Amino acid sequence: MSDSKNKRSRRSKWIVFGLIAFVLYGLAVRTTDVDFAQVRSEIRQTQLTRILRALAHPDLVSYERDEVSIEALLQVPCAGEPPAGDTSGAYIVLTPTCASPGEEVVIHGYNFEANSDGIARFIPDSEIPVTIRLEPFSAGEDGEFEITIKTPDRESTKPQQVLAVTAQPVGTWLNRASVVNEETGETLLSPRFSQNGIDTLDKIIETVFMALLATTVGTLLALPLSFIAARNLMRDISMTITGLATILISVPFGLWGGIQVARWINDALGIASSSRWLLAALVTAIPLAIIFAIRAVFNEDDTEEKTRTERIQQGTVTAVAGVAGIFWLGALAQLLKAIGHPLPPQAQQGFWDFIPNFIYVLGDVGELTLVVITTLVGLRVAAKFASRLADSLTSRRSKGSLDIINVPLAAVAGGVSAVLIMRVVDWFYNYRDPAITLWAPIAIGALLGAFLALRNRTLGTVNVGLLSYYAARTVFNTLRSIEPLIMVIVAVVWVGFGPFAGSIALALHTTASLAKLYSEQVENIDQGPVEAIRATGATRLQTIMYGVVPQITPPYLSFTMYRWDINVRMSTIIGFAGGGGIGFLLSQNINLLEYRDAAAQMLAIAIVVATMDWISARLRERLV
Amino acid sequence: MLKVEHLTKVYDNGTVALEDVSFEVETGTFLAVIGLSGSGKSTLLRCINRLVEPTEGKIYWNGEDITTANQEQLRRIRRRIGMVFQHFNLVDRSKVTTNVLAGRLGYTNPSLSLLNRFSKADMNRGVAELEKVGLTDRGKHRADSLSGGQQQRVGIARAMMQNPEMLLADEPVASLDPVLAHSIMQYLEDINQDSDVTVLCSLHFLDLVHRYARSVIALNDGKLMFQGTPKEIDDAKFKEIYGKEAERVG
Repeated sequence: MSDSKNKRSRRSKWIVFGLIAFVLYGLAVRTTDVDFAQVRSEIRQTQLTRILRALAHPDLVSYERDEVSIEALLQVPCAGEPPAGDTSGAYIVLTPTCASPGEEVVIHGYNFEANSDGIARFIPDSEIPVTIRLEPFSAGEDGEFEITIKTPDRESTKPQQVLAVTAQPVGTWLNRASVVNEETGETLLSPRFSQNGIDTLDKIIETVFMALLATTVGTLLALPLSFIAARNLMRDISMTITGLATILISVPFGLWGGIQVARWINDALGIASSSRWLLAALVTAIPLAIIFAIRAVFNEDDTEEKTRTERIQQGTVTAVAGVAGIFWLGALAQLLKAIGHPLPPQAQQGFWDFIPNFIYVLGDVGELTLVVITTLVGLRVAAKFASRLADSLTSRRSKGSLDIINVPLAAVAGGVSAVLIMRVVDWFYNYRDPAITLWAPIAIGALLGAFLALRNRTLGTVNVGLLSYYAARTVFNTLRSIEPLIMVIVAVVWVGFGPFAGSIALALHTTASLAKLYSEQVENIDQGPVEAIRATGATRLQTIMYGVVPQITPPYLSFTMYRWDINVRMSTIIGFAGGGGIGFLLSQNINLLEYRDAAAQMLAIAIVVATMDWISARLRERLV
Repeated sequence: MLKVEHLTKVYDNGTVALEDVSFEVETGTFLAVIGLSGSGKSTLLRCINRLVEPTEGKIYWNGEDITTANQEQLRRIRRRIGMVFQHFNLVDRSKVTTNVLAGRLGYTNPSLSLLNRFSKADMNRGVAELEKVGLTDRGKHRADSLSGGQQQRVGIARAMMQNPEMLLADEPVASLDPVLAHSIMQYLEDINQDSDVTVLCSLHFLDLVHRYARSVIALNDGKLMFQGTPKEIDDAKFKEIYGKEAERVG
């Protein structure tokens, strides 16, 4: 009884599923305008054939053509038989050989080049040279054709010429002919790569280089970021509330200090950069001085507990060496910019100009990095002082009395962080109202900070690692979900149309995706060796270098290769949005209905993508 | 002397791995830690060098409180405690030499070691330690190209690079065959006797305990069940440690 009931309910379930599916697909068909009448329509079919045929003939090669005319005589109107033509080689036969204007004449061609196309022309008997276009023809496999023409209205007593003109391509790849263009006097080779073919090659190279740059930059940025997004590395990093609060308070000081130092260094270098020799001297002298100073105060191993003077010495030397190192980077950047020079305008570019330009760009990159590094160092130094302060605050206190410090500290920290965050938001929305940008965030941040400090009171610590892990993950996922095709629109507004914009968009997307892929590799490593290295007393950085890095190197390399492969594919279409590369050419040709030209670009993309695919698969096979 | 007082570890998922464990170990002792799988042996050993953070309790080593040490102090404590693992925990893709030298990381200047540089003295030391475990010719091989027994010997060499005053061995022979097990245990015994290194070694087989250990502690379900010499483990004690169904083998 229940069995049959079961069966019935199952059947009715299927019926409901069927109905739902029917409605869903019905709606889908309506909204996607499925219309098979269009598919069957003859006009559409001819258009399709035309396009597909054009696509099947990519415009890569162009030939110079030689016109060959085969003649026969026609009497208009009939007045005796004109002489018959030569029938050795290609020839045409007219039936009939005389006709009145308007009458039809059949032209029969024999011994023509198989599959050649041509046109029939009529040369009337006249003072000035005139040709009348009759009909086009195409010879078959056997080199024969047959067309019917209408006799033109040109009467004469003499027999007049009918020509079958074919244009023969000159030369072959094995035996190229050189032809002098009558109009311009240029000597052209035939066959040769067409202009479109050359442009395609040019742009596909640009595309591959775009992908290379984007992958490199993305990889370099993703490497350090991927560690932050790895749960197993971040899980155990926690901080006391006092420590976290003081560090948060130190952030604005660190930012300000870092940017200030960058400015000083740039000012100092501004004076020095007048002379290349001075810069070169600085670039060589500074590292030597740093190495010498470090050799002098540091032992290779720190077996012994350090004395106070030793610690002060080492601290001073580290600080001075750090500043000197940053200064060195600045000097190097200025030196590179002084040696190199930006690219001259397109017309004056020589091939080797790319070298000084590359040196100049490297200098620019150095200058940018300098600001980033000083800011990071500033933050780090401020944080170090802050945690020192926090240690001295907490070391002499009992757990209960800690709240007296912690709560106000956390409130200040919350206020400071909220104001900093609001500064960024304000940059987007432009409030111009201190009530919104200053007082409200201070109040809310302070309350939130105090509340969190009270809530975590029993634990006494905050898991900073997990917090940064979640923050990093969120940012990467958001960035990754924006297609580079959309990012490039912003990049184009920023740096103008062209491959640079495309590279920026791709690099950004690559950073986010690689950081995620990499971090998953870090999460998959064998924890055993990491634990063993930690047990030897290694610092966190040493543990990563010796326990984590050897394990992740092969998958990192393999993902980088894979990403380059993806970037090549992406950069082929990024030009559609103005990002340079072959996509730009392709979209233009499609819009201009130049399907044969577009076909050449599609072919180039297919070849490059397939090659990349093959190479990266081979390399990855070898790595893993 | 190592003094463990009221040590308790509760993992985040609520598992109580250790419950109020207290014992003392004289310097230079070979102490065996026995108990069923999951009885808390690994957690106990890892609490001593704080690879696992204890939830409650104190661990004093030569008068120093390990449980409250800050990062820098902990680093200095850890480098004097060598550790050997059941699964060897070598970095498979690195060379044997690099694995052995990793034992010096606690003593090298962090910024120098990041450049993969060790001092000449450390390098020579590495060669010497490899020689002691009979793997002189394997230095340039990748760690995962070695057999299990060889890998464990590399693990011992790595631990010895630290100049340890104490050696934690977490089931060092559980993944090796009996012959290899004895050879590895003999290395540990030599280390214990020649250099007066305290050895804490968790073991599964009682015959190994009788043969090598001078004193024993037993854990069951995170609680300390027994502390004494190997001879004192009679059938009654055995059932108490391993449960009523257990039967003695070997």
